[in-house]
Amino acid sequence: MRKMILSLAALALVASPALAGKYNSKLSAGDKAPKFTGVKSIENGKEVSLSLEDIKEDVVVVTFFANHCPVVVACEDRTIELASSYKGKSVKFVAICCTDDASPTAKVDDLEAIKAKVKEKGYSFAYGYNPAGDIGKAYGAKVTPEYFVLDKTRTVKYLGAMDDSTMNESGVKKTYLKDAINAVLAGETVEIEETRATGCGVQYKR
Amino acid sequence: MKRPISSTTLLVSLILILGCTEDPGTSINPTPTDVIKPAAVDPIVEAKKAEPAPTPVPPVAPEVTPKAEDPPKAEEPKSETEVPKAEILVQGCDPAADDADGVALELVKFAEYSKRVVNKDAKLTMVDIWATFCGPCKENYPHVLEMQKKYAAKGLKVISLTIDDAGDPKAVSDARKFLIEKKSKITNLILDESEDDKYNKLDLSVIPAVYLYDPSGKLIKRYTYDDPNDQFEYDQVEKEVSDFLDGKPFPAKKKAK
Repeated sequence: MRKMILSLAALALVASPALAGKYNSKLSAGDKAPKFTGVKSIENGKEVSLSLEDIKEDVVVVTFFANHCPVVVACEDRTIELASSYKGKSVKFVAICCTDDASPTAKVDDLEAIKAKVKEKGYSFAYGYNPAGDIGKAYGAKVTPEYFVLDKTRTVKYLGAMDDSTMNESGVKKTYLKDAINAVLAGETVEIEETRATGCGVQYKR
Repeated sequence: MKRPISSTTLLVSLILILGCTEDPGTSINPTPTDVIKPAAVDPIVEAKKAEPAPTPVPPVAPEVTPKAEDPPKAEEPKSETEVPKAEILVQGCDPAADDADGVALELVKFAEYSKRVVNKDAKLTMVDIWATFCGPCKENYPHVLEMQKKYAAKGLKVISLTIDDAGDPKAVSDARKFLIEKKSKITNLILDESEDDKYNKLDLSVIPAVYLYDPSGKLIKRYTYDDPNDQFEYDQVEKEVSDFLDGKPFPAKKKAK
């Protein structure tokens, strides 16, 4: 009997990465974060190549953004502020845009536009462009903005929305993303591991 | 929807509560030319216009930023005989009460929405979920209206549902302007729920989305962007709706992932 339970548990362990989250069709909390390498990005005004394995910080926040998206615009400042609030702590934010370069909004979403945006808004973190969309698809990101918190082992500890009122800051009651980052930093359990990210559908290459 | 309540508003509300039957008056119905004054142009919309759209659609009108001296007409009672139109945005009242050029926008709670998708006379009720902040929704909206024209005789009823913030007068006003501009003479609803509730009650993450209901109001099909590898297109919706109305079943769901 005990053996059976153990084997069932083993099966569950093996099977779990294949199970999607409640809202995410690819990932759930506890899954290994998909790697990404060589993403053309803008950081501190310069073009850099962004790779997950090059990041040394303990906590990584991967967020999917798109300049054209009013929902991103609505929480962009909050995101930049939040990232800046971890200055001196081992947290690194990265933003990635997966808008297809043939999309009507590519002009405002592509690397050139990102460069202008980073300068205008004073982004304190790297913001990359992945027109192939493979990174967003691997993360199961369906909207912008959508956030993923990874721990030191690059396991997904949180996925979903920034808070419970993305479009309207004054309505925010629950700061999911901030709470998750703080929990991971403190080595505590993340209480809410997944929320529904809402926003603009990512305009993936079809 | 917090705003100072004037005596006119109170009076009108009273009349409405008593039966919603009073003639709301016609003197301040905004006409499309009235409300669509391009005061400021959204640079993004402009940028988008510069690019060829993937499907030919009528040009998107420039977004309007209401000027201080040009508040939504709906909330500007000029005399005792005129009606503050926004106050008529209450559920249960005659939709025509909010009529502007045959276009009405009704404020509904989710419970009321669930009743509106029950249409015994229609073979299929199609709800297009949109918002003024959603570019692709606005681009595809003419296609939605076209479907109502094309398939109404075959038993399709089309409803538009905006998830714009019903508590934000500007958002409501912009949504109305858009519907008036598009001549959306169908049932146009705006959902009066908190941001979280809106998405959760609709089981929605991203718009555009199209939901199909059977005559009893049962949700039988969802077209969404939920799966990054299988984002829907309106042409696909039209094809499947058309086939369904002709008696063919919906195609089996593609295998996820």
